[in-house]
Amino acid sequence: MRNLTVLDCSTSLAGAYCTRLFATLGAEVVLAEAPGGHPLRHAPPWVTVGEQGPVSAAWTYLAANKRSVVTGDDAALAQLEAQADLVVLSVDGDPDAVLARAQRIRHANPAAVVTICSGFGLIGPYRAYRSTPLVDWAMGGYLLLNGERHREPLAGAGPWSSYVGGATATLASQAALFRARHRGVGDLLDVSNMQAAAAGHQWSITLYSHQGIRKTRWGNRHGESVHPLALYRCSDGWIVVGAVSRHQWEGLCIAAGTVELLADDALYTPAERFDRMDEIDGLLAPFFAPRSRAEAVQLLQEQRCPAGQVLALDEALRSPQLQARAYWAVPEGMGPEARMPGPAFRIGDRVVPTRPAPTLGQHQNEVFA
Amino acid sequence: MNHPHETGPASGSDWRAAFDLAGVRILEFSVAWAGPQAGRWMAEFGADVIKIEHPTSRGLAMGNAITAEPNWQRGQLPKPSLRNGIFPDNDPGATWWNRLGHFNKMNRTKRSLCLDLKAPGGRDIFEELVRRSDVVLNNYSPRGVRSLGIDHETLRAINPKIVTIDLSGFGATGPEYDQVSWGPILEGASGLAHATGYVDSGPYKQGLALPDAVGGLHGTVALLAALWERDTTGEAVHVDASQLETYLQFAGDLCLATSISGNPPARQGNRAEGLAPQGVYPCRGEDRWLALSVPDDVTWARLVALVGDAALEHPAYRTLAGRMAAQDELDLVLGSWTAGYDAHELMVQLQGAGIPAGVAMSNEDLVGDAHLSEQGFLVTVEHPDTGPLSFPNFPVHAENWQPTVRAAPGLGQHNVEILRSVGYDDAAISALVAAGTIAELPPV
Repeated sequence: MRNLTVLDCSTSLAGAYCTRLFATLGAEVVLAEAPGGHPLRHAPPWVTVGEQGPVSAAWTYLAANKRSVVTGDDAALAQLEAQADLVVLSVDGDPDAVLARAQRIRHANPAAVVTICSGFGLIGPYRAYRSTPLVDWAMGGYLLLNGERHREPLAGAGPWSSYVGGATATLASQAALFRARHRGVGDLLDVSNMQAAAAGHQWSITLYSHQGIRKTRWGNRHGESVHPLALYRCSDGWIVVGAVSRHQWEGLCIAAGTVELLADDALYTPAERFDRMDEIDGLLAPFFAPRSRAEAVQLLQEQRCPAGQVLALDEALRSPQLQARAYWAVPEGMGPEARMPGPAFRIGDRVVPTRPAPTLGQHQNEVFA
Repeated sequence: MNHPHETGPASGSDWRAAFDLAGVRILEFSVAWAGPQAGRWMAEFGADVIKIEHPTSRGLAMGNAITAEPNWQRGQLPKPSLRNGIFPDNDPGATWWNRLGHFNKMNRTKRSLCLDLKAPGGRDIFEELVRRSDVVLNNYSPRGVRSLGIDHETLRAINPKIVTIDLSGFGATGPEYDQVSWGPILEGASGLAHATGYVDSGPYKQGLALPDAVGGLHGTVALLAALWERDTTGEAVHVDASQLETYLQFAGDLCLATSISGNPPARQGNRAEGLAPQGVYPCRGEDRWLALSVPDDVTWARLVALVGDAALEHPAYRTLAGRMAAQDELDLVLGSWTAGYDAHELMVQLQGAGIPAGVAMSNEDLVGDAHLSEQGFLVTVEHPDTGPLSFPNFPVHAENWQPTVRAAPGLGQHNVEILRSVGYDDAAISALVAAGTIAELPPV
């Protein structure tokens, strides 16, 4: 989205991810940092390269392609706000103060879109609640569905529920920018991680609203209406198999040499297979156990049964698929092995080069020139 | 700020008036979650989204009688043959293909053209629509895209300003481009399922197929960016979006750290660097849990005062390093404390003291939650085949606009109006019905 100026005054993960997407789409993103620097500069995980002290990997990734200014005085900030097409704010304790600031910006720059990212939104009884990535996992309803039924619910390995709020803020901001471009009138958007996550459930909300069913977690099996969409252990690790449709079920049984299962008409119903998953998995185990992940996946894919290896992240970084598509960006000054995701998708042949995350106030002079 | 509770949902409003993407026409070929979600959000922004469906596309067990389950009770899992449909009150009714809960959630506000592209005249209809449209969206495999002739080069030859978006599992190129996948398979390929797990076990996939949701989010971002680009250059634009690649966007920090250290992240359950204690603790009742994080020493002091257990008062625990070293002990004390409380009441108490905490919300909790209710989380949609039903609303509140929300279309509901709009008269439409090119019923 070239020719757009985005002013990022947020301090949250969601805000940082929202503006990262804009930066990778070609927008000019200016980070307005407090004199102490953006909180993500001080956030784990840390990486150490050569003589450099520890550097935040989260900052290096999320702040790439952005420019940094330090805004100690209100006049300088007001100048940036007046020139921006989009201003991104976040709530850190006082939603009323942020809302008042947003309204001041809108008053001074009526064509601007102002997007406020927060854990819980600007209205409702939780509006002033504090959030963390784990709290986002819990309150958006994803947490309870992960892990084993007999153990505590399990979050994913990163703050992904918070990122859902950031991506939602991006698409809503884009839509509002279309409106601003056509009508010259901006908007004020309120995006909460909790509601973004809750609205993004596949159909568990529908399961309750239509049938009153309280969904639960099933470990590495998928859920009440289908099996297998599950992890299986091979000789050198795990694979995921997803035999959902009729022909995928047939492909699995042919690949695994369990064609006797195809004689059972009831098993063509995916939920019947869920009710009999222990029986089915017992019959499939001898196929998986002696084979490597690669061999099992190849045999299944040859039968058009969806399957894939469970890769460790270092293996994923070496994935021929991702390398062939030149997915990885090489951040400057982080050593020859350093890799992080480039743009999320390809738009035509356009290439947005990756610029390193800025030092604090690095672009002060050029931004205010 | 325009919150739904203040003004009521936009259900039934004029779809052309709601937002400035009105006038954008999108042809959607999609299944499951990511593609339909991207199309739905564009429809809620005001675009005219035509879902092109094959007569068999709403599936279930073709040819099987879909019969009700007479003794079913609300809250009970339906019998297997009905479970996948999520029918309202578990009743498939006479028109089961229009009563599917998951379809009606993912496809609301769109129009349906039930068209067999490979039947006589089907391709002509499609090409005429391409000439009059802005976007063709699909989340099929590259093999399916080729088979249907909906690839970018083919469509650009028909409409030189067309925006196309392929939202496939692995992307349109590369050695694995043609592999078939579902969301959990992409979790495996990303390295993020491997990183997820309890300290003593793993890997774990997500309970929901999160890559689909993430793909749908980014598919919408991509589509809007491509339209912006098309408007800037006046030329056709193609988007190649891989759901694997969009999912990895959520873990750039882990990718960078792993690439430099050479070591994949260790599974750490619900713990995280820089936060201690942090965990998910049991509360009163069946499967009730509370997530709790302590991000700094001040918050820790508040928690110690609230819990009132001398075991937490050790001086070593006043620093993050001390608490990180004692997480197992702290979890035991906190878990026995939380177990006596209702999860929601304890969250209110902790947040009142300035301590980040949240209930592990179930789908039932989310539907009944007072906070979400005040935000207009659910929208009631009146559907001719189901009556009024609730679904999650568009999750963003804006000062100047509201999402357009209309019921999901019946199969082929808009066949006639769409065909008339591109020049077909009644006789031609009847001939297409007779040839099986268009339909309003699934085949028996």
